Amino acid sequence: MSPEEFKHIIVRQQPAMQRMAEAVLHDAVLAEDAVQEAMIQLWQQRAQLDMERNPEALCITMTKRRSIDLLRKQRPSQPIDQEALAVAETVDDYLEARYQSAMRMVKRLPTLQQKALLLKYEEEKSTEEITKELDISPSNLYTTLSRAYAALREMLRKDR
Amino acid sequence: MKDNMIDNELQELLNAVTEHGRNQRRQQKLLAKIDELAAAEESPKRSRRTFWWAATTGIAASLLLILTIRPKEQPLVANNREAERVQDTILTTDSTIVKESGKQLLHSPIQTVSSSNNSHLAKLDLSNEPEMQEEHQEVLATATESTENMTVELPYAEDLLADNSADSQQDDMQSAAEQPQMVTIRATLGTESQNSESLRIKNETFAFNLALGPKEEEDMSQNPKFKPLIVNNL
Repeated sequence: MSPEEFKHIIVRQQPAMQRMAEAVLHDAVLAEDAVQEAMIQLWQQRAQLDMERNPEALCITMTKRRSIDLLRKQRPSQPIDQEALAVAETVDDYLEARYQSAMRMVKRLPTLQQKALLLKYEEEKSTEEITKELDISPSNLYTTLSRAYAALREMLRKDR
Repeated sequence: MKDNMIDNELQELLNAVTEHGRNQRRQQKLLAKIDELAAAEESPKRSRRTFWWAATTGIAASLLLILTIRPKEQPLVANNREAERVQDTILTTDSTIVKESGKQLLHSPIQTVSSSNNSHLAKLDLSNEPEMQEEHQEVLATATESTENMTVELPYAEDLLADNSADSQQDDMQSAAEQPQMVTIRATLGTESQNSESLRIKNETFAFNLALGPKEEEDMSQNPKFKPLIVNNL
């Protein structure tokens, strides 16, 4: 398996792996570590990934094992949340679906409001960074975001 | 109530956008890590390849060098053996060596060899035997003629001079060290050289000494059996 093929699988599976790791560890940073360790292990066994019918399932299984190992090491007394695990395994593309839905609504907003929302929520930039990038004052940003929230609420109300 | 539900729904949508953004950044980190792993996997192969190329080239160059440049010192082995044989001959002969350093005589015009190996040999008193004395003179003349033009360069002359512990010779040593290190060794045959066997040995010795060049002399100097003889003689 070439590095490009491997990257393709990892990019596709990363959200599910992260979700699984967070369901076990209840910590986004530790979950990131678990995903990275699982990914390294998968890289070392990528020949096995070639032969695997369902490489995605192998990614999730390996992430789950690594997360449990990490949990045992970090917090030996903490029990594994089996319910959360079950949810993580079933939700599948829930977040991706929500994101696509949100983006459809955001794209109906004016350009400045779109940019302000995405910079604030997707890129998690600070107010100072956003005002600098959009070349607007903080009060203008506040007004723009308020209008964007109002427009989105209106869209949600109409969708009901 | 309805507004609250709409607000919650809006918050979920915005959280999904935030989560998507975070995942994007995590994916970038993972992709960078994959590139690192791929590079780390590639670099040992490259270094191993370089090592084998360097090793093969080195071995080939060494073989070529060995095959093209052959050692020229092989004849010296024979010379060294000859030198040892001659030295033994000299040790068993009561010889007299006159040493000159440059133009100036270092110690005395004539020094008698007093080697430990030949100290037991008594000199013959020829004063009362005219025939033997005459024969001795002839031999002496032949030997002197054979060796009068024999000039041997001794690079270790300074060391030999240093070995001379006599305080009275310090000045001579210094002057000799300052001058070019040319030492002439003139050997005259001992008094027991009346028989033909002894003469034959001596002729061989002179022939050998004449055949020696400076390099061979230097090689002879490294012979542990040869050097003490000269030191004792001086």
